[in-house]
Amino acid sequence: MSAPLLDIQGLNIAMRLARGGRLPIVNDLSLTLQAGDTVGIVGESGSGKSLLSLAVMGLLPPAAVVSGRILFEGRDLLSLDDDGMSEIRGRRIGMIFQEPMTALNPAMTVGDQIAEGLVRHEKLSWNAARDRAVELLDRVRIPDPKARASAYPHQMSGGQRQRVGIAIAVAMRPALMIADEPTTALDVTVQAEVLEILDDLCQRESMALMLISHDLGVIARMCARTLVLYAGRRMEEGATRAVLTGPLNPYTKGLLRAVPRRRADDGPLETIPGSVPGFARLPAGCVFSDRCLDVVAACQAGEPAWTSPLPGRGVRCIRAGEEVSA
Amino acid sequence: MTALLLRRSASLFLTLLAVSGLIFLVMQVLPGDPAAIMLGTSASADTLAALRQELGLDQPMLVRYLQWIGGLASGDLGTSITYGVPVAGLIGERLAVTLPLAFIAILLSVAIALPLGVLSAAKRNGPVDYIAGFVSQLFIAVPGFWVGLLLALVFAVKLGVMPSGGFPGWQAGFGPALQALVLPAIALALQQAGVLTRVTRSAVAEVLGEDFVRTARAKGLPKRVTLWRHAVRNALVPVVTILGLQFTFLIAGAVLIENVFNLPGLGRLAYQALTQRDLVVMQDVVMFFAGLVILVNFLVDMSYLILDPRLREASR
Repeated sequence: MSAPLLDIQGLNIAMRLARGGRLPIVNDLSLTLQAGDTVGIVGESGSGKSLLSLAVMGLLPPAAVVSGRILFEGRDLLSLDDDGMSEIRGRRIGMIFQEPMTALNPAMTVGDQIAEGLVRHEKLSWNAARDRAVELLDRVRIPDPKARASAYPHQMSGGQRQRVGIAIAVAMRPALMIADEPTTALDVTVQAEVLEILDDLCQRESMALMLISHDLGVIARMCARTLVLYAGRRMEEGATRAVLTGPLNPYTKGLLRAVPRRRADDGPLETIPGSVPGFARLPAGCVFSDRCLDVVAACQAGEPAWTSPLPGRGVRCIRAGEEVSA
Repeated sequence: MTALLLRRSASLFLTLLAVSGLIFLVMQVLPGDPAAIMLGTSASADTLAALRQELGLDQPMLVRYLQWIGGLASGDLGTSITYGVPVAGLIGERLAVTLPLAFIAILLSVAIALPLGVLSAAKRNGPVDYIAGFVSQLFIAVPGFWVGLLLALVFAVKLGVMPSGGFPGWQAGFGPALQALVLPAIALALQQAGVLTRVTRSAVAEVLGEDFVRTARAKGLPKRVTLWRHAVRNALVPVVTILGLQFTFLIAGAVLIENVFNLPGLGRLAYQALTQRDLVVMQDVVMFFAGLVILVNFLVDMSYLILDPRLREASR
C-alpha cells in the first residue's frame, strides 16, 4: 500500500487557560486516510471533533497547544509555518463549514468568493477565475449560475449558500475535503441534496472525505469508515457498517439507541444518561465510565488502552473482549 | 434605492428647517441689541429707532424668520453689520481656508488611524497594540489647541521651518498656502485620529472573529489579504459612522485652531462675529455649520449602501 494521504499520529490538543495551566481536549488521537477514503467522525458536541478538523487545517485558535504529528502527502503539517500552510489550505485540503449563514463574506459576491482561491493558487486572472466560478456554481447545481455569481450571500437561501461553500472548497480539486457538520444548519429536505452534491463531487474528483457530524444517519450514508469520539478520545473505529451494526463500545451503543426511529410502541426517546462532562471534570479511568450502562469497578482504575479485538476494528473499552467472544 | 434617496432627502430638508428655527430662536434670546451695539452708548433714541427700522428689527419675529430663510433659499444671506459686505461673499472667502483645512485634517486622521487601528487589531495584545493604545489615548487626552501652540512653538519659533500663523491666500501659490495649513491640520487631526484608531481596532477585531474570515483563511489566503480584503472591508461601517460623527468636533475644533494660528477661516469668522455682536454673520455661519454637519451625516448614511450590500435590499 502506498503512503497514506493523511496520517495523524498521537495528536494531542490542549487549550491554554487565561488563569494559567492547560486544559487537555484531544488526547492521543490517530487516524489514517488513504487517497479517496471517506471517514466519518462522530461524537456529541464538545467531543473535540471540530478542533481535530481545525488542527488539520492549521487554523486552531492561538490558545491551542498541539503535539503529535499530522502527516499529509508525506509532510508534517504541524511543522509548517503559516505561509507553508497557506499553500496547502484550499489547494490540497478544502474545508466546508457548519454555518452557511455566517461562513460567507456578506460584502462580497459569491462568484468573487469562489474565484478568490483560484486567483491565489492557480494564478488565474480575476476574469478567468470568475468564469470558473460560474462553472463551479453550475456543478453544485445552482440554477442560472451566471446571474447568481454576482449575487451576495444574503440573497441566497441557506441551502444555496452551503452549496457555494462546497464550490469554494472544491474549486482547487483538493485531495482531501473536510466537512464540519455541513448539513446541521440546513432543513431536512435540503440536507439530502447537499449531501448528494458533496458525495457526487468527492467521487468524481476522487477526493478523500473527512466528514464530521453528530448525525449517524449522515455518516452511514456518506462514509465507508467511522471513528467515534468522546471527550477528545477515540472510542471506536471501523468500517461504518460494522460499527453501526455491531458496536463494541457502550458509548457507540448509546449513540445508536439515541437515534430516533419510527416504532410501534411509541415509547419515549432513548438518551444516554447525563451529559458530556466538562474537560476539567472528567472521571478517573475511562472518561465515559460515569455515564456508561455497562460500567464495572475496573473501569475507574485507569484509562483503557486502544485495542484491536477484530481485524480492521479499534476500540477503547476494557470489556470489548467480552463483546467479541460473546 | 431611489425611493430611499428621496426619503432621506426629504428628511434632510426637514432637519435643516428645524435647525434654522432653533438657531433663529437662540439668536433672539441672545442679550444685546445689534443696533445699540453698532451705534454705541451715546446714540440718541431716534437714531436707534431709525437703525432698528433699517435693519428690520422692528418687524415681528415670524416675519423676520421668514425673511431670513427666504434669503437663505435664494442665496441672499444679508449684509454683515460690522464688515458692511454681503455675508454670502464673506462665507465663500473664508470657506477657501476652512474647507481645505478640514479636508487635510480628515485625510491625515484617516491616514494615521486606519493602519494603526488595523495593525492593533491584527496583533492584539502585542507590542504594536500597546503602543498604539497608548498613543491614541494620548491623542484623545491632549486638547487640539494646545497641540497647535506646541507645534507652532517647535516648528515655527524654534526651528523656523513652518509659518507660525496667518494665511497668504491661494493666490500666493499652492505651496505657501498649503504650508500655512499643515500645522493647524495636524493639531486638528490628532484627536480625531486617536478616537478613530480605537474604533477601527475594535471594529476590525470583532470582524476577525467572524466565520467568514476563517473561510477566507481556509481558501489559503495569506493573513494580510484576509485582513484587508475580508476583515477591514466589513469593519468600515462603524469606522465611517464615527468619522461622520466626528465631523462636528472637527468644526468645533476649527474655531479654536483658526484662532490659534490666526487663519482667516469660517471658525475665526464665527468667533469675530460673536465678540462683535454681528448677529447676521453669527446666524448665517452657525446655520452653515449645521447644514454642513447634516449634509455629512446624510452622505455617511448613503455610504452604508455602498459598504453593506445587505442594506441595499432592506432599504427598498
